[in-house]
Amino acid sequence: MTDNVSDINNINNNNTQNNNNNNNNNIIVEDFDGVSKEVITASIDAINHNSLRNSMPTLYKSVDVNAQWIANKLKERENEFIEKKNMIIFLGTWNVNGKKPQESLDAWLKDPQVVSLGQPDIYAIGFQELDLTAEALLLKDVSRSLPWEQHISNTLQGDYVKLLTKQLVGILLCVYVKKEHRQHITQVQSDIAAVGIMGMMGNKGGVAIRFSFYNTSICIINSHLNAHLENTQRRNQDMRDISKTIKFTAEDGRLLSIYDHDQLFWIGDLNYRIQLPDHEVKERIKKKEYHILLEHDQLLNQMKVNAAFEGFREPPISFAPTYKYDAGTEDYDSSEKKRTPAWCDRVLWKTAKTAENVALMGYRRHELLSSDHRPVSCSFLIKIKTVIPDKRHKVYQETIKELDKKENDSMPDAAISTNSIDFEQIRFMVPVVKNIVIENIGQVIARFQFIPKLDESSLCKSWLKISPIAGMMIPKEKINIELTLYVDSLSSQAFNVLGESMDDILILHLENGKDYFISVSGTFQRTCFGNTLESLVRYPHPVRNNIPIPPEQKKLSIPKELWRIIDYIYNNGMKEEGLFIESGVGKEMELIKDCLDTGENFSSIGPLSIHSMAEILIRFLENLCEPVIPFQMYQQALDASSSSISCKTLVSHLPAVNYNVFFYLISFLSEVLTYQQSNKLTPDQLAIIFSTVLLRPNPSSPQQYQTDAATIKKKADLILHFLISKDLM
Amino acid sequence: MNNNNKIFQFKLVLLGEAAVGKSSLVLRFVRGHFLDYQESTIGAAFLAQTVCLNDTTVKFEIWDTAGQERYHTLAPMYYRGAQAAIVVYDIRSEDSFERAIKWVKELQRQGSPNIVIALAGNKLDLAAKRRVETAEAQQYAEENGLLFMETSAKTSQNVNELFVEIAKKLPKTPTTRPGSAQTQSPPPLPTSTTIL
Repeated sequence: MTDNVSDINNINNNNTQNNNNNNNNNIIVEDFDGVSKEVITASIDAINHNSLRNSMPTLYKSVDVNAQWIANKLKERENEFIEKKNMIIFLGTWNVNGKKPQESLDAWLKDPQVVSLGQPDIYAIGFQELDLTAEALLLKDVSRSLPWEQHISNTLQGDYVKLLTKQLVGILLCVYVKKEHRQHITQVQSDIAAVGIMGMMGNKGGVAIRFSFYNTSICIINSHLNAHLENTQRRNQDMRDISKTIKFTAEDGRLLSIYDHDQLFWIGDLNYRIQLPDHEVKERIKKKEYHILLEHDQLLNQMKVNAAFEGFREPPISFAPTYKYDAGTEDYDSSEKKRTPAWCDRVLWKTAKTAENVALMGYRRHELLSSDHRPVSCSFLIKIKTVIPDKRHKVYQETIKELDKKENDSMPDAAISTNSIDFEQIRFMVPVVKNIVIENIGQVIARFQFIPKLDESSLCKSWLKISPIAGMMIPKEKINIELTLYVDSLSSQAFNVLGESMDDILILHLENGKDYFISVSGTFQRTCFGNTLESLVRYPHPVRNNIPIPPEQKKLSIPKELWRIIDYIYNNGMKEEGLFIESGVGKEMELIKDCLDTGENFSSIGPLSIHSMAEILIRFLENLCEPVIPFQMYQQALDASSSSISCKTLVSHLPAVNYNVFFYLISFLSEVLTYQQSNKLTPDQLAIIFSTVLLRPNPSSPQQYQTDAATIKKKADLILHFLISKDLM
Repeated sequence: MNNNNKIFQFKLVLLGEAAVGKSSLVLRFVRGHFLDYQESTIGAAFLAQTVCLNDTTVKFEIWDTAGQERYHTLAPMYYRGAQAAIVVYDIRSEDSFERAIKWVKELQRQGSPNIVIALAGNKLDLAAKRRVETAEAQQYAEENGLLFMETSAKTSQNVNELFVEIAKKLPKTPTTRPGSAQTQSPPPLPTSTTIL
């Protein structure tokens, strides 16, 4: 428990004053109960939690905000679980004019008229001018308070315990409570406000003590305001300054003013005078014509016009002015100064709207003679709220339940048209689009987004595109989400070569709500396009025959599909003008692909444009997962292009299959050039066309963007060497 | 000071084979109702529910997960960072009990270090067709330090009790915080504040 002390001091900087001077009791520390500390840690958790949101589907609920809402609800319904008890509070004030305790305090604190109505549950006793010495002002000496505290303790005997005392120079406030109540008092705090010379010396000012008595908050202020008849405005200002300066800290860290309490009492030597000539005042006192004097009482008149103590009330005065006496006598001031008698010493109260009114039990002066003031007391019967734990628990449970229901009802909800999408047959480089419709079927705006699976960074596999990946729907609104499945040469290897199955699970996440899984699947039609040379020469059958290959199977020298394409062109189109330059027919090309993949004869297609077959050759080479001259040799190839010898060396380092394919193609293209007269093709044209598909940079490398004329020429030169110099191979 | 108003928040996940009644248990607990035909959960449903104990209040953030095996690989997204788990099986299905045991093992291996695991044998209202003996499950639970209850989302038997037992067993000392050792582990708080 004591570990919390330093933290609390740090947190409540504005409250430092409260905790000074309170070393003689540990009440404040106990009553904080570590609460402020927890508020802080809770908000740190909030930060941590938020930073983790992206990696986990949980969400942060601000517990402290919820707790505050629950607290407010309970407050609204407190009548259902609160019981009112009557308690007596005794408020006493005495300006002791620097005197030490000399006479019994029984006539004040244990006045039979007071205690006959019931023993007070709380004693709040205020003193002023405890110490008139210069030392008290300058050194803030507190030794004068101890004898008075002792004197009070002796007077109240063993029935009461001291709750707290608070001193500001000569102003002392002591609060005692009946022992039986001590455990029901929490949140005990104090503060001071000095309004003396320079606003800081503290010869004038106020001290305040607040606490929660059962479930009722009580604040008591003891003040000594500026003196002298003509200083009414000064006193009004003192009162306002004190009420603004004094601050406490609530459990949740809010600052509390004196007005944030169920019961507020203001006692002390307020120093307001009677605005009448001395002789008249004395005359009327003799005749007990107090009502006439009260008409000229500065305080009552200021309160009437709301110039001070707004909202406060004072019980009716039916006793003689308590100031100023010759000490030890019953005579008003006989000195040269001849101070006019006045009701300097007062008790005022103010009740919060929510609290029950207080009932007055008696407002009196008491005949203790040692000072030039008479002590005053006022007792009130106040209604105190006490909690009935079982009933409160029931209301608490109901409140929690209501909150849970609201919270669950206000979560976003959506309906999704399907949790499973089958794209069925997927062909290489043929995009297929499917749609999902999500509908906001909840009561609130729903924000959705697709989120990656745990420890993954992308939302889905590379062959799938989601659009949009995030969005917002108002209630009843529908949004269409487009899924596009597209396998290109970058993603085809997984299916063509590695034989992976085509499926994925998408996670559609509703902000502050649930997740939906969407399974995506398709059947990829294996094809020689988007394949690898290595894989194609290992497989003697058409790729779509799923016949397993025996391990001893000999490799083909070149892919059979390549042979079939070239064989067809060789037999049907060598003389065709515009060969490799004119475009093929899309439909025919799809049919050709099917024939290549199924082993079907080209003749089954029917009449066929030679340009379709020519383009198929280029597409076949272009879509190889790895080009004939592998990615890693790309730069070497560019570098070698200026020299035919270097080119020859480079080609000799190609993997066997690639070398075969390269050799086969060059031979074929050389053959094409022998029909130059008919087909009008030049070596340069063929070199440019075929170099771009035989020699490609890795699509993930920056070289991909080298499309300048110099690079194109280098590529073409490499091929050109072989086309014009037959002995290079 | 009364601890009653301290709210401790925990993440709880439900795991178990498809159609053992995970969603039904949650809906019985949270909404107090039961559907004879409960749609299968394809995803993860989220609900909040608070349990008031005598001395504290425990708020569960409940993640109800998909039971189908094809979604198994996604489960860690939901049990990671959970301070409590209910592993559910159908008392009429030995397979579902075997699957529950696998879930428990996975949680013990990959879940939060001090995760509170409860084993729930659901569909107690169909005890006539029981295939998993209470004693067998009880013994397994004891050997593995799990809470154990047979429940019926349909009749509500033991449903609240199950969550209350979990709430009681969860550590409620605000000072116990996760070490920073597990970089992936979200904060098994508990966060708490005091009201009134």
